[in-house]
Amino acid sequence: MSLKGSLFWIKIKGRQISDGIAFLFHRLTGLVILLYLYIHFAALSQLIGSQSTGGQNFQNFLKTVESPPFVALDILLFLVIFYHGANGIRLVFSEFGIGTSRRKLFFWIMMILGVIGWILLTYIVVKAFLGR
Amino acid sequence: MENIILRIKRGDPNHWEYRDYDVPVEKDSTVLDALYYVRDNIDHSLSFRASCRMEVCGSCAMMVNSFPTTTCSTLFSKIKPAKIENGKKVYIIEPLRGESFKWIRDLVVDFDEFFKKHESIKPYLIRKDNPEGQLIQSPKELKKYYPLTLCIKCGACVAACPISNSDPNYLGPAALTAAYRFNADSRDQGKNLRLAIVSDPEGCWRCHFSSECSNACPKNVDPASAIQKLKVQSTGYELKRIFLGKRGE
Repeated sequence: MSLKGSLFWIKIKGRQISDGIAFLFHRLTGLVILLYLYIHFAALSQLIGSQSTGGQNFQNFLKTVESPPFVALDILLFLVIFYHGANGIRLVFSEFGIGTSRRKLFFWIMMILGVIGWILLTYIVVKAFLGR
Repeated sequence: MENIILRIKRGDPNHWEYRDYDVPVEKDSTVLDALYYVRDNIDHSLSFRASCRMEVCGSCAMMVNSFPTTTCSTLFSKIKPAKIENGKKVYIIEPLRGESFKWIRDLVVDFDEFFKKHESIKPYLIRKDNPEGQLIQSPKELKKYYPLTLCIKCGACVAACPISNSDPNYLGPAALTAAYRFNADSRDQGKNLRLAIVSDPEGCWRCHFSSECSNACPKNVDPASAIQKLKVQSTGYELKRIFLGKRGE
């Protein structure tokens, strides 16, 4: 695999949203999710030994992640996950030969479903955040 | 009639540059017409490959404004210029890119690797018996693979594919489409032989369905769809191989 060739993955000009650009975003969102996973585990690992301080570490941690900037970042993360998930489901169906000839329609249906899921989850999170 | 700027990548891998040519074009001029104009009237040393001028031979595929296409069927009136300079439309013409195409000179690339991959998937009818007379096929059976027979091996799909551009060993959309075309042919009996080849990690499973091959195909062959169908066939083949121990024959 060549590095120069891999740069071709991030080419947008002349590409279709439902095809080449969806392919690029699938990779980018995958990287974001992977990065988040590492940060998530790294943050949780800081709580090891929290019992010795009477759970104070955990309380401090919760205070940080429940602050408005973190909630906003969480909502953005949901968007990334919903995009990756919805497009991933489309790719699974496509690899079974389903919907390959109606790619654009299939892509947009999955995107609409993804956005609906994201809005619903955002609503639940924001409601819980405001109701604290 | 209007004058446009044709910005052509000239030279070879060791020494190259972009050169501008002022070319008069009409409403129905193709990019290939403009290239012939440059070679016949401005610079006789310009190298490019072309033959039929009617989207049949597949030899004139190039990058036009970074998009792979057959230049004989690309009308200036149907494409947007890459930029406008001094009130003139600029179109950038480059050789096909990708790991399968070794750049030789100007707009000419070496197709050896492309055709080696094509040949490797056995793109011909394979029979276990030696039948006499015609092999009868119904219109329904023909319809299953007919659109795929329209492939002219121009290489536009391979140049458009992000995987082919980053992985030199990937078989590529053209070869994989040809594999599915023969597998879907009711007269063929070599399906398992081909599936043994395309089930390789560098075969159909390397495709990540970016579908740029189908967008680039000037003949609307839809390689992206054919490769996904090949994956379904490959899955069946691999399951049989794992659980029943059957190999391609």
